[in-house]
Amino acid sequence: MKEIARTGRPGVRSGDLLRGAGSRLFNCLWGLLALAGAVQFARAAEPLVQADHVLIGRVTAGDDGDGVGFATVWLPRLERGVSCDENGEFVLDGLPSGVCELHVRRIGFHDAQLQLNIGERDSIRVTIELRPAGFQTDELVVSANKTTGSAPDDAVLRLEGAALRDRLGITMAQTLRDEPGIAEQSMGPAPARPVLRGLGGDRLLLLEDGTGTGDLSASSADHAVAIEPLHAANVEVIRGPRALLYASQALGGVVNVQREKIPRSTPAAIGGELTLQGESVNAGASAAVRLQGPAGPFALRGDYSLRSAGDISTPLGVLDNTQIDTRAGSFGAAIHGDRGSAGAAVNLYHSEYGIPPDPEAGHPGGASIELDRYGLEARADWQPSTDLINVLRADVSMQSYEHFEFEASGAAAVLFQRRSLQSGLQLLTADGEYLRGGTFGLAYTRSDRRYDGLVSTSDAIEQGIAATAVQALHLPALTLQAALRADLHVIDPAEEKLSRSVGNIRSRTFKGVSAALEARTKQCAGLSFHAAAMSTFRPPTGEELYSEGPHLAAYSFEVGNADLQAERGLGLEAGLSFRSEQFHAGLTAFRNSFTGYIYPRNTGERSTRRGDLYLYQFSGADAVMTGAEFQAGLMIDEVWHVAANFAFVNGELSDGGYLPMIPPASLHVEAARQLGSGELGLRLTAAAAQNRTGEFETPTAGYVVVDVFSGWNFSWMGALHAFNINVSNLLDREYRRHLNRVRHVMPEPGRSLRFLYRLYL
Amino acid sequence: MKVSNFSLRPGARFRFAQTLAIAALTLTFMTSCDDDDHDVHGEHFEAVGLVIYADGAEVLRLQDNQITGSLSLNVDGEVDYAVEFILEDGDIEVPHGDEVLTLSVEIDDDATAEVSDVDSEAYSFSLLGKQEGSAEVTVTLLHEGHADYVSLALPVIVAP
Repeated sequence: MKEIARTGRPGVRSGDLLRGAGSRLFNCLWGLLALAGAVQFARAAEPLVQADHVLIGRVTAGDDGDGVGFATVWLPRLERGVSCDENGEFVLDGLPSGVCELHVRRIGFHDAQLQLNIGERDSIRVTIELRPAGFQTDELVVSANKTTGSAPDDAVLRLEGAALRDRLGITMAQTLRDEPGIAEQSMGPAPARPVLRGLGGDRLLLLEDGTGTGDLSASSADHAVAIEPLHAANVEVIRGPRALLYASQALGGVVNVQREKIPRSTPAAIGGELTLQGESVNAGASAAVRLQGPAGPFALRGDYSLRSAGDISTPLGVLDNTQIDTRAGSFGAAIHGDRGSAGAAVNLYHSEYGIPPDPEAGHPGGASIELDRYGLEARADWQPSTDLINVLRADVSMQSYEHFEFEASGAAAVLFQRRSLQSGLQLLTADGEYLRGGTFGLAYTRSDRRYDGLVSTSDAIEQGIAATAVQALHLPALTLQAALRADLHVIDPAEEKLSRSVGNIRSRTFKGVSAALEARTKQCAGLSFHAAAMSTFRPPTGEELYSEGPHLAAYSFEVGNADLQAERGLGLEAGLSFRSEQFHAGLTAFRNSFTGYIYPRNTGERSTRRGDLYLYQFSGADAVMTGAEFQAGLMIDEVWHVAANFAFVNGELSDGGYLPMIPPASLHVEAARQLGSGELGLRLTAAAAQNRTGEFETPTAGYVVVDVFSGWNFSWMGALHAFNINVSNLLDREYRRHLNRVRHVMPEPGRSLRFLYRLYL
Repeated sequence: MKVSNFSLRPGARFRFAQTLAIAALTLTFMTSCDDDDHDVHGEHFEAVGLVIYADGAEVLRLQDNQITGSLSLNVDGEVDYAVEFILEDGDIEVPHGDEVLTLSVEIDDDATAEVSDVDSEAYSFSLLGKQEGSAEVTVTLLHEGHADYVSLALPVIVAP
């Protein structure tokens, strides 16, 4: 029997650095100290300001040569940027020699990329021509006095601008679910995570500004992701070698939500965004504001959002207990010198949401969750005076997370706490003619997990250190990219003991090496080919090793396995793509095999303690996932555009049977017509029936759903206004997604009118 | 050409800094003032099975998810049952001490039999046979609103 504090906040072990309400004050003090340190760092950097190279540029619109004010000019490699003034002019100091990639972004225009080869001259002048945005294409219009062309991109998918506004959902999973190969795993509208190629949990990392959110969404379907989509500037999915920079187990890839809590550039003027969003299917409304501006030597930035939605309506009625109330905010400051930058940010996320009732699973009244996350991040970049090193980067992130799970009666049943620390040092080498994108890093992570209430799971501390190296080799016809990563991971339970169901609960140490190699040919007659291999290493988590007890909101009784071994993955993929001015298409096939694939296996038995809950035992089994993705887009003429993507994955256990929670084959087709500065389109989503089910998993029927989407923007009173109006599930079809854990209770939402307004200042 | 970084007038810069400082203080205040103190209730009674007695004799046992015996009674007959719980180490006992636990007994077909006299101090209940047939009861041990223990569905047989 577990001793638990009876009143007030549960007790915390004496060794904890971050504790309860006091931790928030601690976080704030840390934030101030980090900010003060950042100021000192940047001031120390100031005397070194002797720019190696200066880039003087102007961003213009189309053929008329008018300057585009307030465009953002961004150096992704250095993660530095600058805003243009009202005439579209900018200056970037302190650029190192070598190949330099430049991204230019302004709402209402297509993004532009430019690759410069900075030689011996001190100053370089460049003019960048932006093309007004109609439909999203990858075509770039760039003129410059240096090398031009598209630069290699780590992201296999980037969602931003009009496309992001169109898809912006209540969660990141809903925002991404129409993208190729991505499905949404959910347990009600609030707790949802994306799944890519059948890989979810922490095999598909979810990051905000390149760091983990500290939440527990990867560990269970009922845990929400502590990221507010309204704050996303863009969302990128990174796969392949560079994914190993973030984690050893990211065979599915990395979803990185760029929020830029720490300002990456100093704006020329005060600016920001105001977003209002509404949805009819749940009487939901949300609002978000972002402001940034210069103040003395600092760049300041803050954002805040509120979201509130009621129960979801479905074609069969209202799905009870699916409400959500969320608030999130951050405040960051940074200083940018010519030899570096430093900054820090604090953030908070609070959410209260319901899990729909499931009488079959023992919770006819449902359950509710209340979660809080507080975070502090700091980061410093230094550009040393050497031709070999571009940037030395240090970053640290501390997150304090906790959530309570409540019975329908309102009684708090379970508390999950996690205090995490992520820190890293990275060295970015200078790009040369052939060797580019070299990144070498060291990382240390620590996660203190604590459980209280109706669980017997052992508290645990997880610590890890990792060394990573990534390098690309650019040959005339081929780009090769390789990555190597070594990890040491230790999990210490608070108490070592012998458990009849879990086994010998003891400290575990895991060591592993991960590696990846990718080859990508340059386009030849529009055709290009790529192939990649990746081996991953995933140590079991504390929950997978030591869980023991009812998981209230997941409607399961979870039992860990103290003897689990590390999971090893081997991913292989190959693809062919074609691109012309009007048409592009790509086909990729993949095979991911696992040794000791860890998953909660439904035993089909009821718990002896909770006869109303099924027993889920964490198991390791050999498994293989195979699949393919196809996508194509066609610009029919100046105004019409069609696009489609198709994906399927099959997950099988080596000893027979299918893996559970594997998405069915899916097809997305959309046709859109440009109307002035906007567009109107129709989107069709189809999914096949999923009959390849895991043990005790029920099949799901196929479905076809039609959505209508529209969006337009215009300038008025010196500001840019963007509107999106969508109708999802236009025909009010009853359908169920296979990855929805409560799909047997109620179908997906019915017809819904969605509205989004964004004001850019 | 203007260098874009410091283009605001000093007054405007101050106002912006002031605004964001207030925003930061507000964030900090909100961070500190969240009322998220919840009482995750104390000790839990971790039973893994139960034994039901009638007139001092064992009539049903649920252990390792195996049920032996049944709750048998006649139409219009009433039987009093006492419940004891099996712990993980095999001991059989009823909750005691300061624990505030409530016994709940639910039947899926109250036309066949009716549950009455549920006593959370004596851990006992009664069944009244109403018509011939079979039904199932579930025994739950509630602790401050949530279930510490829920049995499997236990067979009830009502004879003529």
